[in-house]
Parts: sequence; C-alpha cells; structure tokens
Amino acid sequence: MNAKRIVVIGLLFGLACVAWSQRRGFGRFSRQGDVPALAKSDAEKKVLATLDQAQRGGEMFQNVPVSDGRILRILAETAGAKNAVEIGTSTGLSGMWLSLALRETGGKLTTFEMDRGRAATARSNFKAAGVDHLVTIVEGDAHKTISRLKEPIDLVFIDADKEGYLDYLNKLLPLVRPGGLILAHNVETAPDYVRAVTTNPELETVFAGDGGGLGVTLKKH
Amino acid sequence: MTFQQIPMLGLARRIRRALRGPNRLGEAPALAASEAERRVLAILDEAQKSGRTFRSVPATDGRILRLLAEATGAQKVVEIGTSTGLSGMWLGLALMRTGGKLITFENDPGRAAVARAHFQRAGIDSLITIIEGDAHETISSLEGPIDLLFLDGDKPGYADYLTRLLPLVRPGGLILAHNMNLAPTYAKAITSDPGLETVLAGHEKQLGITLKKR
Repeated sequence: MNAKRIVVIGLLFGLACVAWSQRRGFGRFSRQGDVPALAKSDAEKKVLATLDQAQRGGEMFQNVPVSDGRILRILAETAGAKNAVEIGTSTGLSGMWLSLALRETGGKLTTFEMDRGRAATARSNFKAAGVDHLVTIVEGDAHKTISRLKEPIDLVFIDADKEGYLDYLNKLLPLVRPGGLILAHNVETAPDYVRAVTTNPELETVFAGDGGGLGVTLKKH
Repeated sequence: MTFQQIPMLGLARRIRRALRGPNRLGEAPALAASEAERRVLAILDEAQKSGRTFRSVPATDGRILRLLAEATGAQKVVEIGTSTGLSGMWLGLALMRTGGKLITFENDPGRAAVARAHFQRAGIDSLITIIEGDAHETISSLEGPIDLLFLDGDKPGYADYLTRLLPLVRPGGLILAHNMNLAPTYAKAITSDPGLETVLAGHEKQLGITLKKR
C-alpha cells in the first residue's frame, strides 16, 4: 500500500517536472517578460531602472504589466506621437513606458489622476526617471478635467474607472487625429466600451497584451 | 462529422460565446468605413472561406497588420512571402488611406498568380507590386526607407532578411514576423539588439512586433 503510494507520488512529481521544463523551453519566446527591455542609451537606462525599481517596490496600484508597457512604447514611437493623453496615471509606470517613446518623438504626455497619493508617487517616479519635463499630471476627476484638452491627440491610453471608459471615449475620440490610437487597459471589464469600439466602422480594434486585455483601436484616416 | 455539426455541442459553444461577450478579437468582424474597404473585406472573406489560404495570416493578425501600417502612416511596406495575398489585402486597407505602396515577394508562381487576381478583384492592384523569385536574391533591388517590413516567408531565412533589410527600415519603423516561434535565430537577434524593442501579439502570440528605435 505504502509502496504503491510512493510510486504514484513519484510519477506525479516526474510529470510535473516534465511539464515545467517544457513550459520553460517552448515558452522561451512566447512570453514577453522572458527577454527584458534593453536600453539603447543612458537616458533609456535611467527610465528602465526606475521602472524596474517601482515594479519590485510592490505598491503597484493596478499598474500595467511590463508586456503592456512595452506595447505602449512601441505604438507611441511608431505613431510618432507628439501629444499623448493618459487617463489614470496611477504611480506612473505606464507614463514611464510612454516617455521612452516621447523622448524620441519629441512628444509630451498629459496624464490625469484622481488620487493625490498616487499622483505624488508618480511625480517622484517621473523625476527619478528623468522624464518629468515630458509629463504633465492633472489631478482631480478626469471626467471633468479632460474638458481642458483642445489639441489633436496622437495616442490616448485609458486605464481608470472601468464604468467611465465609454464617457472618456466619447469625449476624446473627436480630438484623436485620423490615424491616431486609443488604447484601453483591462477592456474585458468594460463591455460597453468594447461594444462601442467594435461596432463603429470608422474604428478598427484588436486585442493584445497579457490575456488579451489591452484594447488597441485605430481611428481610420 | 465535426464537433460543430453536432447540434448540441454547437449550441453550447454559441451560448458560451454569447456569455463571454464580444471581448475577443475576431468575434466582432472588421467593419468597412467605405465602399472601397467593403470590396477588400469581401474578397478577404471569400478567400478565407475558400480554405485554400496556403498558411496565410489569420484575420486576427491581418487586422493587426492593417492597424499598425495605418498608425505608422506607412508610405512603403515590404512583405516577404505574398502567398495568395491575404496579408497584402489587409495591408492594402491601410495603404488606401495612407497613400502608401506595398512591394511583396513570392517564390511560387502559382500563389503569386492567385494573389494577383485577389488584388485586382479587391481593387488595390495599383498599390501593390509582386516580385517573383527567390526573395533572398531579389530583395537586393530594394531601396529605403521602409516604414513596415512583414516577414512571412521561409522561417530559416528570417535572420538573413532581417540582417539585409534592417538598415533600410526607417527609425521608428516596424518589423513584423509571422510565426516567430519557428525562427529562433531571428528571435534571438531581435531580442538582443538594444536598438530594437519587441513584443509578441496576435494569433497564439506568434506575431513578433519589433520597433526600430529612433
């Protein structure tokens, strides 16, 4: 009886080992976190080091995961973003990813945050990363404060109150330039937003990032 | 008989899908904003349903191609591996809007002919040049700057295409690679160069999206 049990446990352990090693082996290039973002310059190194430190800090407050941050950077840079807008600064991780692009495109970020504590943390993160001159944090209820935005927007990133996504979309879409992008984090929890971006023929939407929760919407030219 | 043809299983699938909502790409179809777009989407739909797609990109990846080409304002797109032209049609949707052109390379004359017919019927043949022959040789005729490069040819050749075409890609431009998981040498090259940033997206996360940093 005991010997049987040991054999069964041994077999299960063996199976687990095989499963784990295959996952590691086959997953080598299928998961973005496996290969870290590399710095091209000292300025990039400074941003990535601050990001790394903030991610290890634990106090994440629902920030974007690294894989989504890297998508933000790629999209902002390839779109040549001059004017990026973010709803939901949190502690500034996504802002730092966007800044990696904005440093190169000569762009700037206007980011909205309701919580003073998080805004303060974000401010010190931006400073430590050396990108504070690229970022303006606007505190208060973004549903009201975004009315101050007037210029054409190249890229919008929505990462705030999920029930507010549709209102943000309705208010900001007219400002997004043709060919511009609207990104939204955790869209699976904002079904009315998803419906709006997938039923408008003037928009094209794909889902990317960890678990497909990053909605990427193009405003067609 | 497939699973879908068994009525009860098909029903269960539909219910599951309805409960899950339209959160997943592909469930909400690509919509046309104009007659020209409608024409391209109709040909794409027909080609996909024909089943003879010869390892062409799935719609999920095609829509990403279109979105990226349009967001980057592509004037010049280069594709290695035309196949029957499905990815070319997705790219064509963007190029109609950006005023750009596609140069696409195909080794197989049969597939090139099918692609040519697709492009013509989709009304985008004026935007596309198909170059037949071994792309490893014919790409030497290319000139930069390239805004977007899409690799979907022979997987062992990805690294060679990258080495030769990366210098022609403009800073801020994109290199996309279909089935990147099947090209480990390429994957290693693009994830170890600090001048590049790469993420994986699309169908089964096998579409490599690489930015050439400015």
